[in-house]
Amino acid sequence: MLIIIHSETNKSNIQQNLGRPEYSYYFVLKEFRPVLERIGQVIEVSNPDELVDRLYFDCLSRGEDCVFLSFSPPHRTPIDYACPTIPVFAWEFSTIPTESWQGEPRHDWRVVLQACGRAITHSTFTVNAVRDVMGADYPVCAIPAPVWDRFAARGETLLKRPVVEGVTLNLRGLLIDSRETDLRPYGPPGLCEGTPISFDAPAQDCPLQLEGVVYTSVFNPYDGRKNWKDMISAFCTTFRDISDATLVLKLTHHDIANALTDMLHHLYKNQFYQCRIVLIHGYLADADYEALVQATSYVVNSSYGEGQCLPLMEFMSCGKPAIAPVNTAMADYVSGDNAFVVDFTEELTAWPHDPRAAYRTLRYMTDWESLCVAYRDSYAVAKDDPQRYAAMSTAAVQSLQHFCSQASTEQRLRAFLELPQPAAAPLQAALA
Amino acid sequence: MNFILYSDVNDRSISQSLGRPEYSYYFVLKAYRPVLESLGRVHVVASPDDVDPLFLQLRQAGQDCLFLSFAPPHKTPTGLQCPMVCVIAWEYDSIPSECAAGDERQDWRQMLARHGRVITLSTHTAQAIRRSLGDDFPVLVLPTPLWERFAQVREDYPSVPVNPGSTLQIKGCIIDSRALGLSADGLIAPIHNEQELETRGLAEEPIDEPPPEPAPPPELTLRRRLLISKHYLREGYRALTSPSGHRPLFLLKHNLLQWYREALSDLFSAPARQPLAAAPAPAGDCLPVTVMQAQEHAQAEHPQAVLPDTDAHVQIDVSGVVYVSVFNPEDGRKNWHHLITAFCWAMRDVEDATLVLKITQNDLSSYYVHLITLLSQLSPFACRVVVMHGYLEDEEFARLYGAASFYVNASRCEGLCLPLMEFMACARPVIAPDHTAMGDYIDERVGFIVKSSREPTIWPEDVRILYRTQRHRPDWGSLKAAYEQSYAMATQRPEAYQAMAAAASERLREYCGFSPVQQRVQTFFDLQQPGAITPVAAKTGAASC
Repeated sequence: MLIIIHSETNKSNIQQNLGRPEYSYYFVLKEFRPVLERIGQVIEVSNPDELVDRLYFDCLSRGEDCVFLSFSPPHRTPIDYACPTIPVFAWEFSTIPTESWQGEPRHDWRVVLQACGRAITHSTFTVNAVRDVMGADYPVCAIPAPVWDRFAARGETLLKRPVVEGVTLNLRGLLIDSRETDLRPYGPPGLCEGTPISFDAPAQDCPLQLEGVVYTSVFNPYDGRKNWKDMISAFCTTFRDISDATLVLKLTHHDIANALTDMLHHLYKNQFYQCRIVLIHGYLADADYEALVQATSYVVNSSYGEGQCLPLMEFMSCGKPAIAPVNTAMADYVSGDNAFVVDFTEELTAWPHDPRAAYRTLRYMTDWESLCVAYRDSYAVAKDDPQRYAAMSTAAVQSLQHFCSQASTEQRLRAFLELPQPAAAPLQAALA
Repeated sequence: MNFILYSDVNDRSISQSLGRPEYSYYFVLKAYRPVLESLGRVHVVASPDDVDPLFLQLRQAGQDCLFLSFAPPHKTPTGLQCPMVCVIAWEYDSIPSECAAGDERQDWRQMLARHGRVITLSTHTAQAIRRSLGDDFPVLVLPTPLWERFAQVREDYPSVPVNPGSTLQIKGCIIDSRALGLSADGLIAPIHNEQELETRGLAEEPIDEPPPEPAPPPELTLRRRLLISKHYLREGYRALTSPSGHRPLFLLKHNLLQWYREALSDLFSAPARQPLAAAPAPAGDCLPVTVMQAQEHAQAEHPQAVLPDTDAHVQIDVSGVVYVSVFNPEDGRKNWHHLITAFCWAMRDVEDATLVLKITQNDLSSYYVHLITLLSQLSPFACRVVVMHGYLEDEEFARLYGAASFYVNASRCEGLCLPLMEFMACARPVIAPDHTAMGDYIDERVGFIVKSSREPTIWPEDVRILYRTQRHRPDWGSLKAAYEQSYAMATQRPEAYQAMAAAASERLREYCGFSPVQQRVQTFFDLQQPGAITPVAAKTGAASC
């Protein structure tokens, strides 16, 4: 079988697209690729309009099966190809778009889902949202990006101590440490003093030393869903008088200056606190990313919803318990066994790409108090209950294996594409 | 005993003060006055300078004197000889206790300690004060007595779960969602520039080279939002009044959308941001000078944007299950977006549900376009939203109380919330949170409780804008559920509705009837009332602190 894959962001433009809408589809494609290669021959195309149907007709003439996996939301998935097309998409809202605007019929996802006849998404939550509209028997499958194997393998070699005893990692880029930063320039207009940090300076080698109970989150600060303000304010409030709690925020975006200014303003507003906040923007070599994972006690998520959340999946696969809400895709792998659960409530919002901003769907607003409780309880466990920490760590690895191992992805993909399962299926037990 | 009363706002200045934070102090003074008159002689002074001469004169005549300052401590006169006490309306979990900018009056602890006692409107405020000043600091919790005032309304307008039809009248204007021809599609402007397309992710992907970074638009400070809003209001006005090739409605919609996008859309995409009222402009005001000049020039050309006529006597018929709320949209605590969005979502298929919003804000232009945009974003919906802008005579207000099936509040915090209490005193059950001052009189017997969690915020007067206190984040899902449950009760279980209505009225009688309030004052100041002294009522939520 020939599997053609495409995402609009690709190897050649990922750097400038980092943080733009839909950039993460490229990372999902990269994670799927090795599993797809076990199933068939994989070709990645950058210009699908030109290539997909040519490749498809070649296959037809050879009598070979061929399918096109478009790693894109349905409204950006082509529906006029002869080649069977399957959108692979992430979604975190309670309803899928069922209206069209600007003369583009594909904005009504029903049009695309009907034309393609089947779809792949990443969570049970989204499968249900699709079936609410397309009918209970519509062929849509929850297959997350298979990140578990790589990170679980890394995790096996890591020490899983809840309290970090001094780790130094090296970052190339920009590092802002609340302990060494003058926040006066980020106060309200009229009260600003001092010189703000220059974000234009060339990337530098920055050593970062971490110790104590370390909380880490990796996200794009311009992504409004990430709700980093609550993440920071609840942290500062909870650990106002605790000096060995650190929050490390690894930021992903090609142009970080506005976000950093906004975040520094928020750090200013939360003053004064004994705890420490570290903002990282830049590239971490694999070894240093591993060091960051190793130096992490807990991974934090306070989003309004997630299509899957690769960083959270990665850290949990490594055996890091989480602070996260059990909603949207996270409901498939976050639980009280592997995380300190953050409460939430629904709130009316618009589909993110709807220019009318018409209220048509729900997102999931964080309960700030419960985020504080999660910080407090997780700190107490890290300090005083290593057994519980170890049990949560083990549970995290197991849940994520079930959710997003390559074996389970392969099995689900084969079932979905109606291909024979691999001969040995040792995962059967784990998936039962 | 002589009570000397002073409030910054008085009978003459109240009409200009509507909507200002201080204005509620005036209502509190007016509401306390009869109680104080029943216990002594009341003197209302026009200036703090009048207090001491009056005090000295009365002392010479051998009379006791107490000055009640209806103002927050930092605005209370200092250096007076007359014994004094502050009356404080406050809705946060802690009182200002830092001496900002060298002004010791900003530290309420010092001011209150000097007075030795304080009057507040709620138990919640009393707790915040005692957290700073100690558990034994003398605090009188004194809600404004208002139950008796509504005897006539209770008699004329018995509670009815499903309103068979009432006519509401107002001098001002009425905005009716059913008459607006609302459509979310109308929010799409016909023209898009590159930058918009890119931010929406709709631009053509560049094939060869990365696009040059567009210059970032100026930051949306409050001032800039205001300028943008004014511009589009003017454009909207011109669209309606000037002859043009386009249909006026098209141009109006176009301008509405442009205004929304430029001035507000970021607020919509991230409602977690601090509300405008609480959030000072971010660092660095990037407003280009040229824009300022252009605006000033345009302003000279078109001095005033004109909206619906607000001087007419207008009326509207409402019926069915009628929800009412009274608020000022400029007041960031009120969370009125949730009030409307939860209603329209919960009742989107229900034709006989109406939300009536009485606005206490003189300037229609400060919220008109914002409101219409919001309703457009919510459309289509079968239920109805009616906004009443203007001044209600007593009889007209009585009709509004009478038309209500329920009163709705979804605030982040309240120092008292007079309208909520007034509707309850008219035997209307409510939808409301039970946090802050509402904790004294809201529970599940009198209404449907809107859940909430806490969130950090600033003291409103703190120019440093540091998080020093907490307010509440209402739970939208629970507000939506409260609309659904209250509607079901009104239409299916009238006897349960009547029980709740009676409980609301009874609660307010206990909480803010004249006699319990009078007794609190008497006990706190150790006053003898002529005649028999009845025992202080010990009731939940009405307990003296």
